Amino acid sequence: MIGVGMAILWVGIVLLALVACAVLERRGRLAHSTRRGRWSAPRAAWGFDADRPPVVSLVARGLAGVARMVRSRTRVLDQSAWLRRIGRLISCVAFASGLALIPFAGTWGGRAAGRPLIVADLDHGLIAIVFLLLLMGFAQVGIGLADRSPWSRLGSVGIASQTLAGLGLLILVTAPLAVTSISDMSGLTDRAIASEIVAMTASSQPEARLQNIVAAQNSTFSPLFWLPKVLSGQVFDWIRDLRWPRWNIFVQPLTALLFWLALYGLTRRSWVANPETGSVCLAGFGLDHDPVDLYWGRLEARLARVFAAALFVSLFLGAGAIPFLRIGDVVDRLAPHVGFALPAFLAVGIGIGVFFGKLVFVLIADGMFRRSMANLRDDQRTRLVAFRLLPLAWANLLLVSATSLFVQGSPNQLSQMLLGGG
Amino acid sequence: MLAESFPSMIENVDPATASFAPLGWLTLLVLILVCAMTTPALVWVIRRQLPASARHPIDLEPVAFGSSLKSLRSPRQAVLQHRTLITTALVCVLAILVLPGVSAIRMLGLSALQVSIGLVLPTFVVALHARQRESSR
Repeated sequence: MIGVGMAILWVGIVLLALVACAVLERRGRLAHSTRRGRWSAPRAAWGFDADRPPVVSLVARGLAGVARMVRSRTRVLDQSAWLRRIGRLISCVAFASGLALIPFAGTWGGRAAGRPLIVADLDHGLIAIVFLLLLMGFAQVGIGLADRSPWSRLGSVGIASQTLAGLGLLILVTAPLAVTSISDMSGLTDRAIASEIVAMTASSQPEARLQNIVAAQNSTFSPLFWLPKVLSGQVFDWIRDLRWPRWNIFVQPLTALLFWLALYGLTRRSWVANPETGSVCLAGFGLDHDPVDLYWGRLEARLARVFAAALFVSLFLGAGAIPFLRIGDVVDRLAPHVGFALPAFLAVGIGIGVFFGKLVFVLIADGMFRRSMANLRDDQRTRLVAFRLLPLAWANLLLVSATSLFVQGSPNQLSQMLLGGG
Repeated sequence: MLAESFPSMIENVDPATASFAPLGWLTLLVLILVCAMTTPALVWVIRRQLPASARHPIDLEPVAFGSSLKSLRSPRQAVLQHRTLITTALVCVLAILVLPGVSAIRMLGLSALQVSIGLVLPTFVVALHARQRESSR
């Protein structure tokens, strides 16, 4: 029953995020419409041109899209419609399953070790997400192979290579998260929360459980605790005691950057008319420009973007946590006056609202990042991943593992350092 | 009703262990698919109301590389993409080995190296022997 309620709530948020995606795409489209070069494809063929700008109104554009779908459909003679439909279905099912694993509503009562409110809580959620992303890649390859056009087939080969490269990078990037989700508990500056989370995870320590990774971020840490004791004085003491939210984006910034790049590779869709850059891709899907197929392609691409953004918010931005505010404390203070249930519901609502705000922020940043990125060739992208990003991810894994071993080896000394000898 | 029953339901859930509820996952799946299918289904209903001549599908020729023989036969792009695909497949296989390796070292410590050597060495010897026999035939 809890899962059903969470599912209804989560679908509402996902729909809102899809609308936000459409709005952001429109803003990007309008902002760049007059800056296209003379080599851009004319609107008559691909739908946009500087002389004939795109539709400004989002509603009018949506209605025009529906009207195009009502019109006669195009049919490529040697295309396998069933393979395409099955590919779309598998892709949507994989995305929905991936979204079900993301902890978006925090915990009951806002406590770090409270009951998690998730649609589907798996012990090995991270590994399940890796396999679901692989399934999405397979589905995209199937969609490309459904068309016998060499451009679509090359597009599907490109998607296969970027999926494999992205998955390899993702596995290397998520390994430090799994390693540190439990082992760094002793490094928390807030002893009460540390003991609470450690007690929660003591009985079973599934490192790949998403809820554990989110729970480990509900605290603060001192990023500059390592300053030598020689540097004394009020200013250095203040700097040493300075606390930041213990979100993974601050604790492991390199992991966050690599994770973003891996998800960018995994959720990039190879369309002929690429709406992000406004250019015609070398190879990709959508050559027949069937409006219904375009609808499914756009929906799938937006779902991919929402999924990637929600995963990033959960793993690196503390999900629905507010910096320097423990919502559980507010609930505990209100509980004697109005009972526990009402403040707990309020905390869940606030957590969801904060999560959605972070999600929109990540979508905006993601849109800016995608527009600023050059359209690399497939071999260039693979070379970038194989010779630059993967070695960087290996180094990051070794660094995080060494830090984790150090923390595990001498937790008392480290906690003394963290707490200033307390 | 929900506000009264929800707290008691949630209190019965153990926070330390993951609890997978298939009903919630199925609900999410069905809701997302229904939302995705709404527009195409509506469009299909409206299209069915149109006269048959107006909704006749338009047949298209498949897109080709070009008309010249050189553009039809040019394998450069395909060869590059094939190479990148093979490279990434090998890189991915290497990367997939990391996760079991990390978990094994965490669980077994340095003895995991002994176990892995004990597994790998016989396999390696057998593979070398088989290769030698194959080449000497």
